[in-house]
Amino acid sequence: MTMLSLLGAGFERMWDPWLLVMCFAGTFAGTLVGVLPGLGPSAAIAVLLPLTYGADPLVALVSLAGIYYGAMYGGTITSVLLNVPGESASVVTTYDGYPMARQGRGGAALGVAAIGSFIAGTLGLIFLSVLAVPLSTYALDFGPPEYFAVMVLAFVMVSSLARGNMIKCFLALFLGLLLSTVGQDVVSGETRLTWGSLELVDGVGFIPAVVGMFGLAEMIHDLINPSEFVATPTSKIKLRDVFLTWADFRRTFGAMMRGGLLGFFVGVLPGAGATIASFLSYGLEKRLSKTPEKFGTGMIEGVAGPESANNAASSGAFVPLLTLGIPGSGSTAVLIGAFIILGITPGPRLMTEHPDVTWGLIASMYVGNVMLLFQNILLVPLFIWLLRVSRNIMPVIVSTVCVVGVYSVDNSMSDVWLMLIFTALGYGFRLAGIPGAPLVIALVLGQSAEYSLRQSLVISMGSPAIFFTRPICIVLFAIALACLLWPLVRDRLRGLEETE
Amino acid sequence: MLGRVQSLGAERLIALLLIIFAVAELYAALQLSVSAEFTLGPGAMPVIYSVGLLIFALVLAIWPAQKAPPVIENPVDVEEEPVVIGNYRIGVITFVLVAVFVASIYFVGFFGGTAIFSFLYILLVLRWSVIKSAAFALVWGGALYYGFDRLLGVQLEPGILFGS
Repeated sequence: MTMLSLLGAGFERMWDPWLLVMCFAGTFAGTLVGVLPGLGPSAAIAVLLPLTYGADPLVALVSLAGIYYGAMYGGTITSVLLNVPGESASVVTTYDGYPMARQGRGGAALGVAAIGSFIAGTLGLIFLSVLAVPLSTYALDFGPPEYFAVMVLAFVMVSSLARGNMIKCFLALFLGLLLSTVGQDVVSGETRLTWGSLELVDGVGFIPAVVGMFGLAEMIHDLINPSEFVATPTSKIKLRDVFLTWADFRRTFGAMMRGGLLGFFVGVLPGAGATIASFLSYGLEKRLSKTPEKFGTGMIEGVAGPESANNAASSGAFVPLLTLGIPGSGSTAVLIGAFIILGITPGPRLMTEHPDVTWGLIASMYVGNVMLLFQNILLVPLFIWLLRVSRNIMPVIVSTVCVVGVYSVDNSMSDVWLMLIFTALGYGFRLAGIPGAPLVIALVLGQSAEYSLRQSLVISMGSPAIFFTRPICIVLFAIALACLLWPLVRDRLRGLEETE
Repeated sequence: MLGRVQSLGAERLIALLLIIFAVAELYAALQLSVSAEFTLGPGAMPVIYSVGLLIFALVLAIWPAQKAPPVIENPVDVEEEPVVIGNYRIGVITFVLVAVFVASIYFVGFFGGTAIFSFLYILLVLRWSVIKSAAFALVWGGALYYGFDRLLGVQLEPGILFGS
């Protein structure tokens, strides 16, 4: 089947009113999550993940994915109106968005962000649709050695490209890998590292880990480091201000397209993600501008480019997720967990085994982008009102939903206690500046990586040469090595430049 | 500056805890067989991972970020977030209240636990009036219980006091 017919079948499924309702609910919740500082998309997906347990996989995934890309839209609102980025990918939007709001052009900033996000998000989805079929066909040739190599690549990229010191990233990665080995060994059936605990025989649960690390820990961090939230005249906006003028649209169209292209390709790389895409786009627009010195004072291109880039990056992140089963960030790791919990294994066989789910999900993202465009133009005053009203009681809602939600997955109080341990660990990580994403990704993929490695060795009768005689493996390991060495080479080059 | 000093202390504390954890896991992993016919045994990867964790935790403990030798910066410079000392109290209170909430579930079940937690949090932290706090706690506790227990069919713990 061609891409168009598969996508058409996906759209046909999206005519289900229930799916449309869930798509709206997901994108609305995502925008709200983006609006609320301190609660990121990974936290929201983690918190709401238990609620989807037992639901139809497509319904669940449509709403969870809606939260993910919806958050990219919502983060703009507070960045522009309150100078408070709702999530990290919108930090750069404050540079020019907030000055625009202070000059009385907050509506235009929000309008250009919504339209740019829509154009770039749709552009990203077109790339995703076009690339998904050939990549997954190619990925069907993957055997255990290739799987192992691609997971090693994901681990290395996430750790070397992720935010923060590389030592801390690898520390988190190895902790996640070690935790993934707890429980019954998939090959021999022996129990490992359980210290006699029956609760750990099934392993360290993924949901308690992500809900603790991204849900409760982030909420506590936000309570301790509250963002300044002051109602100012800039936070009041009229609906008609949000509609873009033709002059503004013409001026920013190039920035939107460049942001879309850049964002998509950055989003495909594991470990890079929407935040880096938005910063790179801002840098690009500043470099291309005839008046770079005006950036930071309310340049509309400084909003259009980054906002387009972060939305396209969220579409790009679905390429490795759907075709290889590789998450590129904490949020997509949580989404992978959702796939697995719903009984679907993301990866090369996803397109052939569950084409209805895959293409239904992709189609829902097109629909969701249209919904988000309208939500972010028409519902801005509602989101601001909800931000004011719900912010104080958010800790009560998040804590109780986390506890009840984690319990509901396996009816297990041990999971709830485990979640509290991960909350303490997650907060400790935040304080120490250790990223949580490598840990979560390792926890999700660790067992599969180990299984692929051991299976490969069985195939080769114990010879590790199997990894160095297969072309795909060699290419993947070479890229992994390059990613590992690149920061060292870059620092060395910088050092040489400085001495000259 | 204060945030940086705290981060330094947190780095060392986390690193030390992870060293202890890695050593304990390494000891447990070494009790397992590391090789099997044509492949690795169940203990091999835990040994490799715990050694890796141990090495990185040791590096972090000895050279915390401020003095870390090969400083490999992130591709995007992100400003350090300021840490406000006074608010730690709210964070600690919230964490303790959540822990008490979880423990209370064994006795008063999910509905009772949720209502008590919500009431105490709103009263102590948000400083709403007793009546408003109690009203919100009952409504929220009831809504959550109804949503999960009745609508989603999750069998929530009724607790020792209310269980039949």
